[in-house]
Amino acid sequence: MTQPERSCLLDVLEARKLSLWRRVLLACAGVAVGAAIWLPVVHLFFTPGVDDYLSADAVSPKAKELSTYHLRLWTNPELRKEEIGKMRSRNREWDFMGRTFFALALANMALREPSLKAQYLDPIDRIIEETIRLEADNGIYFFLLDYAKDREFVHKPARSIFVDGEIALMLGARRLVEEKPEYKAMLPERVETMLDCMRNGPVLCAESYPDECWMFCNTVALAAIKISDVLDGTDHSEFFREWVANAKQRLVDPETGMLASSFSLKGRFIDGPEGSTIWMAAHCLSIIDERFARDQYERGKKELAVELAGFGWAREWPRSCVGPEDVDSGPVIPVMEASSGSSGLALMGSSAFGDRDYFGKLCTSLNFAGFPVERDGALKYCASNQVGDAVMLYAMVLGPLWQKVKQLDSDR
Amino acid sequence: MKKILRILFHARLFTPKGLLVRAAVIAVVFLVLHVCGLREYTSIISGMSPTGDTADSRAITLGVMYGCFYFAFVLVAPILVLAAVFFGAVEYVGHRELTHGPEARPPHPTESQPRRSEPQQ
Repeated sequence: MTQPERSCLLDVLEARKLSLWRRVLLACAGVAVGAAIWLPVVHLFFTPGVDDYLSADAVSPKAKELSTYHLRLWTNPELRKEEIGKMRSRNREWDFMGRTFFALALANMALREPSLKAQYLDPIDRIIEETIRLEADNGIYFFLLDYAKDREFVHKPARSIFVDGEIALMLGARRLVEEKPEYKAMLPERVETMLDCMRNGPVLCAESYPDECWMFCNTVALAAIKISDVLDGTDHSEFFREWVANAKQRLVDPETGMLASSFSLKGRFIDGPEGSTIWMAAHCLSIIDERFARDQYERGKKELAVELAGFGWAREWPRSCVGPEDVDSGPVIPVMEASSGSSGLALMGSSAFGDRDYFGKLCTSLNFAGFPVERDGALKYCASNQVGDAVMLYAMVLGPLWQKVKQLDSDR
Repeated sequence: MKKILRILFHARLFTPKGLLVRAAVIAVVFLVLHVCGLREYTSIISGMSPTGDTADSRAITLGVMYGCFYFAFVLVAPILVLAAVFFGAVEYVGHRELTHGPEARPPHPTESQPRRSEPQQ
């Protein structure tokens, strides 16, 4: 480079011949132009092929990698102790729900890959046996948050539909994959206990916490009851009809038409509709009343889903009833109102209702802000935790279990 | 090293070079944090700590630092580079105008001659 050329380049790079205000103006204009070019295309660097996450009949590559990490947790006691310890120190419910979602994911994977059934059933059995043992040894409070002990359950003897419902669902999922004689009596037993509590409630819902009924837990219980029906030949269709009619009348938020997330035993709303509830509730209701379930998903999407510049996320609350940030919502990013809890469960909702477009946008956000790490064939999301990863895994593999319930139900 | 520091501290912000230097600083700091394995510390987003102690302020600081530089690397640095390109291109065109434009050319001998029609002073 000649001396004049060099001098010219430096003049340009250092804007030597411009006054300060011109430099500020040009820099600001440059940033505006840069942002206008970059922000609309940045998602392209994080947009996944949805087929890497969802597969019609096999287990998708990403699901395989995500499950590898979780299977290591359940085969390596040291690793599990460490991970569960971290989770329990923060929230005991997460430990419990992590088990449920992982067991449900494995059951779906076993149905997708029958040749590997034994490999998937082994950890399911381990999870179920350990969970039931922990509940038997320590009581229902072992998996509940501390405030459960502040008051007494209204229904006696004290039961939590949160604990009963998810254990029943795990038992049912396991039995749907393959019958296990030891579990054959356990599922109807739990179902009877749950039904007793639900029927005693004026709005046909049972308590998760003292005088606190959670829609999430009650819809999980309904799904478990349905599975028990198709496995054990019972018929609770009348109860389901009654439940849905009652919910439409007394448990939906008048503003949005979405199911409320928590309410007292008598049906007084505690929290309005929430993303951390509605996606799972709609998914569970899809084997009880498909039309009502889809309507709830559509309403949830209308009120909570956000799609912008190729990214997707979910708010925790509709604009009409914003609530306080809590363990269910997870951290909520201000302005964007993105809730990690609701967005994670929205992956499940969009997968369950075949909404591939929204699912793809949620995955784009997950790749962008979930901090994925792939090591030795295992995938984990650093910004998540064991329960978050288990929910995402379930979102990637769900389908065959519910399909089997519907099939068995129509064959009856 | 001294030279690098000199460039860093002497690059004025509102210049193409200043914008590029800042983008480079973001990229280098992020890559160092990434190589040091701080990605794991982003678990603070879900209220977890890699050390198991949720009140561990060191883990929180590292997680926040990694998160900030990650988003700066992904969102801010490319914008700064594009801004520098835009700024440089505009300035280059202006610079050319100055050095090669009609005003910058030495006057043609005939141009300096007074025209016949112009009044003599």
